Amino acid sequence: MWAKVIGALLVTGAGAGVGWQLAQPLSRRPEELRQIQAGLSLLETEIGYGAVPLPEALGRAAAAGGAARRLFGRAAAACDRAETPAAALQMALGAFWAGSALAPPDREALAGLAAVLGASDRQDQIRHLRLCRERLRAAEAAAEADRLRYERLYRHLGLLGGLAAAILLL
Amino acid sequence: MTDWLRYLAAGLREPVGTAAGLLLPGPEEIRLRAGRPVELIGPGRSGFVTPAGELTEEPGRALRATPSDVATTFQLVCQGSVYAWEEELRGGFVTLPGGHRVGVAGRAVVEGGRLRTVRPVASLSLRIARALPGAARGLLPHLVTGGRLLSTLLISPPQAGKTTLLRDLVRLASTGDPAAGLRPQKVAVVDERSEIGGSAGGVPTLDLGPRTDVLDGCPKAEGMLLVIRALSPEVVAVDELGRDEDAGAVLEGLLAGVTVLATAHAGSLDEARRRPSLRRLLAQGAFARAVLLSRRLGPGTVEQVWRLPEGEPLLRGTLAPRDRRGSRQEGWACGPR
Repeated sequence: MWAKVIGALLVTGAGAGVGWQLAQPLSRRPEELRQIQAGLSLLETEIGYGAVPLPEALGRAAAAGGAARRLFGRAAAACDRAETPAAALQMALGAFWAGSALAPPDREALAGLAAVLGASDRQDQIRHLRLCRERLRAAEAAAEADRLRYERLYRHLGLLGGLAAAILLL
Repeated sequence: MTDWLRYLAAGLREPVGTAAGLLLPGPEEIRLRAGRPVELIGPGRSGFVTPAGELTEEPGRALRATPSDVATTFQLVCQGSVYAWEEELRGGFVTLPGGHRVGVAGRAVVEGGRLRTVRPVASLSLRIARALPGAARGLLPHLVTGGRLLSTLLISPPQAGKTTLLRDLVRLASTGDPAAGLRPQKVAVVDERSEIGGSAGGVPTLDLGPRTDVLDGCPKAEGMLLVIRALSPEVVAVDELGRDEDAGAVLEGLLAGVTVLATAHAGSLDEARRRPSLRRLLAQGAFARAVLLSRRLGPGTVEQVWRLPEGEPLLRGTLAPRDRRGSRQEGWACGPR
């Protein structure tokens, strides 16, 4: 009897875990998008007002914390190895995707920025940075709506699914 | 001294580095032009670089710089941050740590009648700065009176060694030279283009002597007044006088009792006198000496030294750089005129 109860609890727990796992990226994505936007704002200030060269500017953008630190901090560190800072950002993006919750459109926006970063005058750089931030802001609004809609749904579905499987197995 | 090699696109480094070794004491200029042969210019010899790292006269055998080589080199020169050099690019060049100057040409983007940027960049001319300790020593006896340097204008066409000579005069004034009766003095350098000191982060990378302060990247006119006010120098050095406001600042400096060392582009003293900004200075007796340089016997050949304002020539021959191929240059030997 006890074995059945423990088994049922485990099955329910596993279901809840799966639901939680599925809901995780939904809540992490808007958070990461916000942090990267904050990093891009810092980068814009460094480039627009200070005309600070990229190796240093990327390091300062990492101060926005969280995902911005993982992305821009890594890019600043890669500046020594890469031929140009833009290439360093591309390398950092490659490593960043693995642990991030960002969706393909977010990645495209950042990869697009990496391709032009540092290659033109201040005015043009600010335009590219703002454009990228706009795209990420729109993505954040959509990600937030997804989170509100699906996060609880996945968690409840996971728990209830686990419960249903446990009842069936009993 | 090939610290400049790392600014070239990776594919060009080896052949250019090897070919540069053939030019002693080293190349003066490296020219990259998109789609055309890579050219090296040295003191006595120049040519195109072959893929094997040799020098040739035939453009057909030479290594061609691709547009992407030029673009990558430009990115490396700007540390991948073109916007950080916007002001410099409007002036047509960027100065690297070490004082090397990279001139830029390509498609100009003009806004409101003013050059905004150059994009894409199609030509790069990398001029190598060289410190030649002792290069100005042979000249000192003509420029020193009572232990002090006299206010001197160095004139020459481009690439005749004005900045190199000015740099050594600064070093000698700062260190002192007992043999020439020159006592050590406090020197301030207003290095608008970062070429005299080759400063990186405000600290000169070339030897300017122990008593020298450098105001890096500051417009000459404003900088001269600032250093005179703030640093109480006995000698102020500036490169490439040319604008009207520069002349005003030089006069201010002289009235403050400061020795001014300056350079200017001109092919002769008469040409210098015809240049509007220099005319005013020379007419008011701003300089006590004028020195004309040329490349006739190698860069840094001293053609003449004049006592000003009389315009009396002080030199009876030419002062040629003594050893053009050696690694160090010590003064001059007299050569035929």
